[in-house]
Amino acid sequence: MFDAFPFDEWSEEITTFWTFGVEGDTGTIILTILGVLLMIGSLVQFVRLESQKLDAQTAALRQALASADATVTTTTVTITTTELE
Amino acid sequence: MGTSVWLLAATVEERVDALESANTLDSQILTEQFYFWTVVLMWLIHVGFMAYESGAARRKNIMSTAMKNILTIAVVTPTFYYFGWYIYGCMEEGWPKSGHDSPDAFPGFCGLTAPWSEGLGPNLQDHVSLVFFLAFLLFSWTTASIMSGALIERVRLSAFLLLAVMLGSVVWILDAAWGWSSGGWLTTRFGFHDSIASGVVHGVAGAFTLGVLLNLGPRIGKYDIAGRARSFRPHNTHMTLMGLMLIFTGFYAFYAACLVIQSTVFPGWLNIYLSPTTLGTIAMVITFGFAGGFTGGWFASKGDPFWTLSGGLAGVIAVSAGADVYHPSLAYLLSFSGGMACVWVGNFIERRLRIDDAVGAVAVHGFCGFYGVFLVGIFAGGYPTGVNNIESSMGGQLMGMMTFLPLGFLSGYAMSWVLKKLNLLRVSAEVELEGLDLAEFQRDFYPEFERIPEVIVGPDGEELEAGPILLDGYRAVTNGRPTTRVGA
Repeated sequence: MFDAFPFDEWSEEITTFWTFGVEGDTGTIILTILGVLLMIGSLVQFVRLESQKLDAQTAALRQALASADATVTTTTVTITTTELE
Repeated sequence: MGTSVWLLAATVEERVDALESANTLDSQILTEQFYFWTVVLMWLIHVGFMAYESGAARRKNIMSTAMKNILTIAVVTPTFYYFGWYIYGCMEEGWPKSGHDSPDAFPGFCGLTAPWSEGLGPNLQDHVSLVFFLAFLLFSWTTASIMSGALIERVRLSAFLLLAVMLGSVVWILDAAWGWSSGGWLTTRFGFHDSIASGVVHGVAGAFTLGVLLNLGPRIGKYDIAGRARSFRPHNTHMTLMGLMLIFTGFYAFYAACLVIQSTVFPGWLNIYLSPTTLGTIAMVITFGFAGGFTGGWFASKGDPFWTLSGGLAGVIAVSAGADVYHPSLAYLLSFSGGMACVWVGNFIERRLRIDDAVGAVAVHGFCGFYGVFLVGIFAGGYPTGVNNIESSMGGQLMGMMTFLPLGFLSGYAMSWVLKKLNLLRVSAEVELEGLDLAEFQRDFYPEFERIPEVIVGPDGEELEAGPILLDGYRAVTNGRPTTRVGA
């Protein structure tokens, strides 16, 4: 049988072997907090990044519509804007 | 002589202990492998959802549709890990606590669901907790994805992701704690029985979706001036049908993952309430569920391919609640009715209620989910459920429905209402008209193919050029004024 782990140093009773400490340890709590922060930050950024893209595109499209550039093409509605060209 | 017997007995005892220890480890590793492979196969559900919805979308919305499914995994995974699993482990008795008296099937389970606990990290002595968590995580992705297709082509990607977090990491797992766990108050007090999650996953996701759709509104051009429904042509029906078949394949793993293995004790398998069943029983029910559902969908829709396949899914959902006890013939009959009902309900929602559910999710998952829960009250009444052995009954099933329906619907409606007020729910009318892919990704995802005229199918089945209809719809929606604030 394979037995490469140094149990004589670590103990045969070892259960959790986490990188920054065992369950409930300070290191584990800190990692959890960092993970939660990344989770919340990413949710906020999903909203912000998309809003920037949609706002820019909407503004460009409205400008084109205001100058009566909206045309019906063979595909669907194409609103001609300088940004898209 | 006496010494020899004593030595022999000691040796035998030692060997028996060693064998028991090895047997226990074998059993645990069998359990670990079983859930691991269900997780792998359940990924196919999400591959399927992505193909299904992308195929149903018009060419201008392909990638924005697909990206919803992909990013569902990005947001539901951490939120379910950091608080969703804790809700399941610690809120079985309701909040505030229901005060019921039930034996605790898993002492200390609540403590193992905190993200810093030994149940959610590397642990040489625990082969079960992590794979069990992962199976539930895949259920959460599925629940959130059920909503996804209904909202396509006008919802903001980020709005969908926030709604997915609410549905996948809070709402469904709360109702699972109440009615889909051995200690849930609905089960231990009322004998609520929903073994493969007809109502717990599908019904609640459908109700949540209905609440969101009321605030989101229909796609531009969906209804004519008289309120009659038009249909948008899917850009790739083959992809949609292939996606559904992949979902069906993954659903076998979903079914299997709803069971608990107890390989050293008769009969070896338990349902989620720890009542006995077998893997073969549920596998027969899902197979006959598809057969009956396809048949019902085919006849009710007069041979429409989309509704035939959706009918298969609806049929399975209608028999999932009692899949641990139903006879295959009963599953065949009941799923036939579910397959037919989803077509009728879907048409009613689209044409009478004028709610634009792009893939029929409310009918297939919402209606048939609760229909399945209801059927258990008729066809599995009297069956002892859960650790308290409370008999299943129509009263218990109705109690579950009365709990889950408002929980799903109101939470979906409230959250989407808030997003709408914050101008974060729907893309602007201009972006919707042009297509979401150009706004989100600045590109056409079939660049090598010539664009052909987009067609809308009118209420009487006639094919119409889409451009003028969409522009008319746009003008009717905007009435000359912008519908959304820019830079809000």
